Amino acid sequence: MFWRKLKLFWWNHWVKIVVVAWVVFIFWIPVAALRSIDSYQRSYMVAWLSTMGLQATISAVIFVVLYAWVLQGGLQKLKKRQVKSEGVNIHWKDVIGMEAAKMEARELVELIQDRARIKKIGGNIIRGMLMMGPPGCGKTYLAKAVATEAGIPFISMSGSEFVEVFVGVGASRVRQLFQKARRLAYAEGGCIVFLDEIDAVGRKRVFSAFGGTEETNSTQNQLLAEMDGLKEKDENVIVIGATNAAEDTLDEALLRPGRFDRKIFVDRPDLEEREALFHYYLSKIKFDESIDVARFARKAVRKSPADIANITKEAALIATRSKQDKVLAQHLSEAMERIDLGLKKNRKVSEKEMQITAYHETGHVIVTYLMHPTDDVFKASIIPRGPAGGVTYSLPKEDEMFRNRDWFVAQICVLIAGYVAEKVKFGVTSSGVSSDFQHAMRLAHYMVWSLGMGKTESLGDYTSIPADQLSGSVKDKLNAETHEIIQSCMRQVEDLLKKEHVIFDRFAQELIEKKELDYDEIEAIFKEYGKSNPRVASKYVPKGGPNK
Amino acid sequence: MRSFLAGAFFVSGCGPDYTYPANTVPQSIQDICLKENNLAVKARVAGKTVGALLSINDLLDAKGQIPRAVHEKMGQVMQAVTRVALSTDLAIDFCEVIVRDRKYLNELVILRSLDDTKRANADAIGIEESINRTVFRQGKYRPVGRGNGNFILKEVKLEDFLAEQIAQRVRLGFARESREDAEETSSRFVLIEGSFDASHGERVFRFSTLSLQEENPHKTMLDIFHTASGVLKDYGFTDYGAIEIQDYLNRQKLTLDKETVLNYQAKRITDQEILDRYLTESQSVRDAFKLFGVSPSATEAAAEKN
Repeated sequence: MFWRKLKLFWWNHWVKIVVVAWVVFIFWIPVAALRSIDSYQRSYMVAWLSTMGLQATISAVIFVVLYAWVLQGGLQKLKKRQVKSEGVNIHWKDVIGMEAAKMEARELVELIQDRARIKKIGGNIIRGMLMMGPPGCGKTYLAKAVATEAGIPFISMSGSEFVEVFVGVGASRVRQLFQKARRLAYAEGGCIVFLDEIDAVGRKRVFSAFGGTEETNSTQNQLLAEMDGLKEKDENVIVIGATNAAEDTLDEALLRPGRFDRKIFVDRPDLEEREALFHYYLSKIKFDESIDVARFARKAVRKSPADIANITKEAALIATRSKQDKVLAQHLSEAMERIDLGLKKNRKVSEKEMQITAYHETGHVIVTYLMHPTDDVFKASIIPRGPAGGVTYSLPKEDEMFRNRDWFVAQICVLIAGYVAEKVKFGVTSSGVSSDFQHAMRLAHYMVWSLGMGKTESLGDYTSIPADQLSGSVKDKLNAETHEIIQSCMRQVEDLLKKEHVIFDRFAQELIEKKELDYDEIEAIFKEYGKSNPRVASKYVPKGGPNK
Repeated sequence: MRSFLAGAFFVSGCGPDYTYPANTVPQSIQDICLKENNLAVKARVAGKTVGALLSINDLLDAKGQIPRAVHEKMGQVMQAVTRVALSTDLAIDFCEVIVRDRKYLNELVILRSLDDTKRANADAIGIEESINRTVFRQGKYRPVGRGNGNFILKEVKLEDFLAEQIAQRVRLGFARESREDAEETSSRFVLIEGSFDASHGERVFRFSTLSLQEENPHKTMLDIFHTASGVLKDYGFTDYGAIEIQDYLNRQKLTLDKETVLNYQAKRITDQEILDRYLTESQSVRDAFKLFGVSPSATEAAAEKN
């Protein structure tokens, strides 16, 4: 009976017994070890162990203090980016172009100023505005104009400033930022928080199956919570975000109404805006009044305001180096080429190479000039730049949203014109055609496989179907059509160059002689042979005519 | 739980019990040496000094050097003496190990302060300083009674230990300098003896030196004084009246009272001021003969050469 009771006791309490035995055991080990050594060594060791505890405590305290300090921003405390509206001093008149964006921004300012009236009506006050668009198009500039016109403080921070190696720092900075903004809003009646490159913290959140999340998630969560908090506390803090990332890369929660209520697309400037921008930036430097600004605006297609500012700055530097007291047209031209094409190389080129390059570039020039629906040749050069032996610098009349089959065909013709020119003139071709062929093949493939522009008009985007699900016959058909486009273009170009062999030889000789031909010179040669530019609009004819 | 922890610490010996009670100290040393190192030693306690005697057959090898094996035994005995001295309730200040040669009556004595051992254990002093603080003495002994295992342990006083240590430091320091300057003809050769004299109620540290080939005799005086001052400062020893340094060959004597030494330690007085104020003419060379047991003719010849 006793053994049975003992067993029962064991079954009921074996966990406790084992734990107690283990505790006694692990306490006994050091006790036994200490007992086996001399009293002095024992005392020394106990004293040393006690100091270890002290050291560990001090280390722990230091770590906790440092960690708390880092969480509060640490060395990288929130930078004092607060700017008073009068300090920004950028008005609507200083914002060139982007009329649509400006209109939205104006409305936002009115809403900020008429806050009381909106509340009275019962309308919702705008909490945030998201500006999207390519870099250098004036998003920050527009935000500053909003701050100036609204007459309230402006705090600017970049999204990357929230990203740190320490966990929790990003969220902590968001808290600090909004705390500061709220205080300013309380004191000054409102505050604009401008978050540049918001995609750094605003990307779609990633949720791990194991429960872990990325650090940017917590930063973004904090941002969302703070923006919601603004709504609850009814403070006049407006968040303006700017990004050049696509809208679909941003988290949906960030884009929903109540956070970024307004979305403004700040696009690259159009022709008129570019002209205005050239006038604006040139007005800040000394320049020749006779410069045909319209032509440079035309040349600066797809350029952002920042690019245009850069061009005028570079032109001023070139003028200074040329010991001129003002910027001339040639300086602007050189600045654009330097930025777009790179610096010229002083590489020695053999006579034969020069001839091949000249005829190759001439092929591009003639086909562009006579066949391309939108592009104009602004320069042809056989001076090496970068890896290229020569260059034909052509630009479209204007950015177009859509391109038709003619454009693609013309583009392919232009690209393979260098090859055809070499073949027509010399009977053999060089390795200089590889890049042209790459682009041409890619375009032809795109036309057939994705745009349904093949000869048999095989409709559909075949690239959206996995390659292994396409039958061999479909692939063969599409590839044959791609090949046919290239062949057809080749025949067209060959016919054209043979037909225009006089102009062809003339251009090549001019290039060999002068090394470079500009827009006016190119126009003049074509005019000499009775060929007028099919794309020229009267507004953009250079002052004094093309022969000037 | 608290009472359990308290009990555990008490059981582990954190309480006031000592591994080697006062009445078992000599026997414990002997037991440890025998059990752990297989060495038969005789241990004694004299006042605050504990010592052990190890008798061996050959203290010196054919070259007159102490063999490595003897060094090791010496270390083992010193370790046992120190271990017991550290873990006893008997008040011990010094540990001494005497190694005697049974045949040639040579002996080697190692003397060490227990506080220095504690300092070394706690890394308060480095290995080199720890060696500098250990006094090594070599000489002949006279057998006591029958058999070689008997010896009389004299209690070591701190002032005597310091005097010996200072003299040894000066000796080793000059020997080191001589090795470094071996190629130079002006290298120094110094004989030095140190003692603490309390016979006339004055309590004076006396250092007597014979310094040969000395281009700058003042430097030797200052070097000895610097060493003495440094050691006394390190040990915080102030129970003395003066320091007296005599260079017999160069006929100079430096006598500094305690106040001056303390002022020097506090950097209130410079080397030059010490020389200007306290350097006097010493006794003649002949007075030093007895002290060092050097042949008068050889020493006088050297003095004349200088």
